[in-house]
Amino acid sequence: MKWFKRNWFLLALIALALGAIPGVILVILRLCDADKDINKWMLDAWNITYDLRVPPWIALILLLLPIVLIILYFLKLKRKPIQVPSTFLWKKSIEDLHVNSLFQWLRNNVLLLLQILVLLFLIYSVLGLRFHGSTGTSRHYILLIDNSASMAAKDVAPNRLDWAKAEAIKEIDAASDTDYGMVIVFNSKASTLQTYTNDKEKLREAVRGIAQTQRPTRIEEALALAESLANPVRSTEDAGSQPDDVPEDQKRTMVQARGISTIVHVYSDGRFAKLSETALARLSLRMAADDPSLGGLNLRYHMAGKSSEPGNTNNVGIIGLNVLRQQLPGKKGAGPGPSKVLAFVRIANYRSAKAAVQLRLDVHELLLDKDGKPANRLTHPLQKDRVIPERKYVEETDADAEKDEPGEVSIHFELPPLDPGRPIELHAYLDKPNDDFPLDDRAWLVVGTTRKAKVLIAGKPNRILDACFEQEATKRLAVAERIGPDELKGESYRKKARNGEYDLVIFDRCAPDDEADLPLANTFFIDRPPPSWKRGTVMLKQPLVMPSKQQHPLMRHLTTIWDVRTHEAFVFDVKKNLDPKFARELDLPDGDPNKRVLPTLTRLIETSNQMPLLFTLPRGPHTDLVMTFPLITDEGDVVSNWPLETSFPLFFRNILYILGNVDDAKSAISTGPGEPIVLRPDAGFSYVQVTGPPPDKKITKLERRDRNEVLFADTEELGPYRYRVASPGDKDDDQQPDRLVRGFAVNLLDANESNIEPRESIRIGNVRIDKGEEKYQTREIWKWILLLALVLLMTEWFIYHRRIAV
Amino acid sequence: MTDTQAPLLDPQFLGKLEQLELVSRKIFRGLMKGERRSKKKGQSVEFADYKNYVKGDDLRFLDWNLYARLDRLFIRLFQEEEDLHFYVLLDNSLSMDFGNPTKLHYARQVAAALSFIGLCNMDRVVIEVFNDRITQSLPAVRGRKSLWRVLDFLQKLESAGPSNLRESLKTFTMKSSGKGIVILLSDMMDKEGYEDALRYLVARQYDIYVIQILSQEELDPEILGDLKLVDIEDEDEAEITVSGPLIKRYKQNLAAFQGALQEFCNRRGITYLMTSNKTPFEKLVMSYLRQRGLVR
Repeated sequence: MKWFKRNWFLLALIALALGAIPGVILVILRLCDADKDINKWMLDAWNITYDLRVPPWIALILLLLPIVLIILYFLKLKRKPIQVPSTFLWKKSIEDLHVNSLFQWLRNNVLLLLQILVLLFLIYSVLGLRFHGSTGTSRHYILLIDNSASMAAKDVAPNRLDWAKAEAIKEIDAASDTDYGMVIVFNSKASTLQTYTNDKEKLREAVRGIAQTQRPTRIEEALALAESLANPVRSTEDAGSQPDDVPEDQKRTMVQARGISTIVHVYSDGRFAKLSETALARLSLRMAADDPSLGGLNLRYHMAGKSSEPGNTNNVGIIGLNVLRQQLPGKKGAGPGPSKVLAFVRIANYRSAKAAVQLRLDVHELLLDKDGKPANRLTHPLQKDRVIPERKYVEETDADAEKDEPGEVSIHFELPPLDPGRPIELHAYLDKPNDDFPLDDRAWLVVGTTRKAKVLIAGKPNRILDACFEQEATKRLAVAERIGPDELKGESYRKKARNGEYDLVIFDRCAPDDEADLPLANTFFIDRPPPSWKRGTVMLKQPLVMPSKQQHPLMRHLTTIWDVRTHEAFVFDVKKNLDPKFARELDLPDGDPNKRVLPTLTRLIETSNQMPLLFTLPRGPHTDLVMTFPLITDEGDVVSNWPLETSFPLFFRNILYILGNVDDAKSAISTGPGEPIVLRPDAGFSYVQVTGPPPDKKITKLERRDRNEVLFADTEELGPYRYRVASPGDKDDDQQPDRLVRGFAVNLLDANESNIEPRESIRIGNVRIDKGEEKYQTREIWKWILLLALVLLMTEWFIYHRRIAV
Repeated sequence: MTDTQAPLLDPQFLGKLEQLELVSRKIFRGLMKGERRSKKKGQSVEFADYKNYVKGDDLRFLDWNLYARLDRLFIRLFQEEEDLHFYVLLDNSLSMDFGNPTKLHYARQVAAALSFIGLCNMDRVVIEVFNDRITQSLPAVRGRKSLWRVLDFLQKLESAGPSNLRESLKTFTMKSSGKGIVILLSDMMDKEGYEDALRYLVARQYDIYVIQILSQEELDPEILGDLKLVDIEDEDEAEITVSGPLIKRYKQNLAAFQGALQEFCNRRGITYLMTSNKTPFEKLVMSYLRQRGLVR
């Protein structure tokens, strides 16, 4: 005991040193970036991992501090000698004070031990040791952040999106280290920016990276995504799927529905369309909201924006812009009359007072400027002044749903006669609307030109087809070329076919010999199958014709198929009629590049015993339409009554529209922000160069692939887009003044988005979710407390050993 | 020390000192006739009393007039006038070489002033300098003319060696024969204690004055930090960490030490006076020593 009393200080110092060794080793390993193995070992052995929570230089300082402390302690023992007349009284005084020897002890020894202990705590705390595998205590949360156009409103500083981001970061800060978070951003689409992680910095980084878009809001996809990610473990055989009426002896033991109870924080202004029943059906939200233990989502709504006065938002916006092109009847035999274009603009008023607006509509002609870039020229500035009625708003009560009808007017402009060959660009805008949301004060529209189908008819003369294509109505939609069946073997045909210079090739009672000679275009085979198949000799005599797939676009408006009669048709089976040399390829093993897979046959018309008479076969990006009976025999006899039926010209029109890619420019080309748009210039182009809306005028070059169309996806910005089409022979900088400039527009035109007043509550099916409290910022303070303790200890040590006052 | 060469006494102050004289509460016999009336009857001109003649008395003092009148022999007694022994015991141990001015310098000034008063009154002034023994002595001097001798002696004093009050005073009491006033100028900081030393003096029935001289640094230490205090005399070390409580304790101990010394002195009829090197020594002599009755 006596020995212990004498040596306890040394023993404690040694114990502390031993305690420090693992921490020091871990810190050093981490500093040398050699912590992988030890982390793995620790994870295997004790389910623990570590990582430094502070920059390496701070860790290094921490590591050195205990050593410095001990050195300081021993330095302290080296006292400054000073001569005094006599130590007599001093010695007496020290002895007197030694009566309080416990005090002296504390001062000399325990303080040092305490200081080292605090430092050890500090070192171990910055090691950030984490227990793994105990998910019982961890929480899951999903941050759903709306970055649609309306989140750009500045009613909260600096804007709603930044507010939402700040709130989301607060939520992340408030979460503990064992909580798993996910970040999903949604507008018209939803995407996961960060999957489940407990690394808060990653989550914060994901939130900070969210950028404003000009897209409208759709929450369904975001909710579905959140739900699917929240419940990754789904089983169709869980307890929830157990039927109720199973006899006791047949009951199976089923697992409980598994899922992770997840809190979903929605940061939005709440302005999205009502969820459709089909969207709701896919969500188990309604159930989960009542019982979160089912592993569903627990929704928390954070309202972005400020609603000072419900039913009054300072916004007037264009919510609709459309044109109607009417072909005026021309004089008899003098071709079509001039086309009249009507433009309709719908304007909504979200203020509780009437709003006087001045709507301007500028009609521009699209052309190439002298630098060869697409430009526009104002041809007709139009203007109309209107007063829009006030908004009617009744707040939601328990008995009645919310009633919110913005004041709305529809203004139409009759555009002056236009050159049908040139596209025009309409720009509708409100002059000085003085509202909070400028994005919906403008809208654009491009009224395109007619895109004619280029059709090649191969075969012997056919007066029915000739009659079809010689009609005035068809001439407006298609340009037809004719070649004889012999020319199919010619180089001229092959070259054009491979270049994809046609939209549609009709093989009338003939077909190319080889698969390779099939054109890069849609085809219509009459009385012949495509070259991979043999026309069977088995014929159906006077089959009963029945429509099979009336919803198919090619069958649109065809209601009298039952009346069609034909003399005979060949029997076709997609497998049996396959050319024997190709049939072998069906049996090749999987993975063989030559292995052939039978295409899916889609029957449009069939016989009563389900033999296909008219069907489509997919071929890469193209479609082959096959009719198993001829319209006319080689001798010129009509063998079917179909050409005489009213359904026949309609069928041909469908073929031209669907397979010939006809665009009659009746409707304007417009899309929503972020939505891809298919551009279909005339067949045989080489590339399309799109110029984005001003001021950036971003230029995108889109190369043609197999099809006579390109997909343009970079439609994030609202405004008019213009493009020019280059033919294979054109050079890049070719400047032909008469080159056609086309365009399309990207518009918001969303009444929900224009209503920028934030909703106090959102509705998911029958569940109403009120906005939650704004979260106060929480910060991690343990580090500061620990630092403060250290500073206090040091200060105390310093002060205690100084003379306080004499 | 810079102040060793400074004059111990300035002329103006000397003028004031001339008016003073040393007072002894006890009247002592001197060997030479001095300017002091003794309790003893002796040979002076001032008549004191008569006494019956006994055989052996000096016949020169017979009062013949009374013999003629009364026919009896009476001896005339005269008031004896004695010179006074004035001993200055000055501690010159190393501990006195401390402070600014040093305690030694201060002690020399006090010694010089008191010696001057004594010399002016024809007292026999003896200065004994000691540390652990008596190191230097100024043999008894008398008369104003000896002032320069005294000053010269004091001026040449240097601090040296450890102190040992007991041994030094024991030696002093053994060698000095006469009685008189003893002024002890020391800091009294002797680890062996001062009690025995003072008892030797008391035993010889001196009229004892103890003037304890401490430096301001001792009275109110202004030191900081972790220190190793080294005793200037015996190299003894004391490790201290200066703190409020320690300083407080030191002051309490100092006060207790002074209290004990005063108590000791009072009980034995010793006059005790504590002074610091910051107290002007003129004030000490003209005011404090007057109050204590050493000078008048």
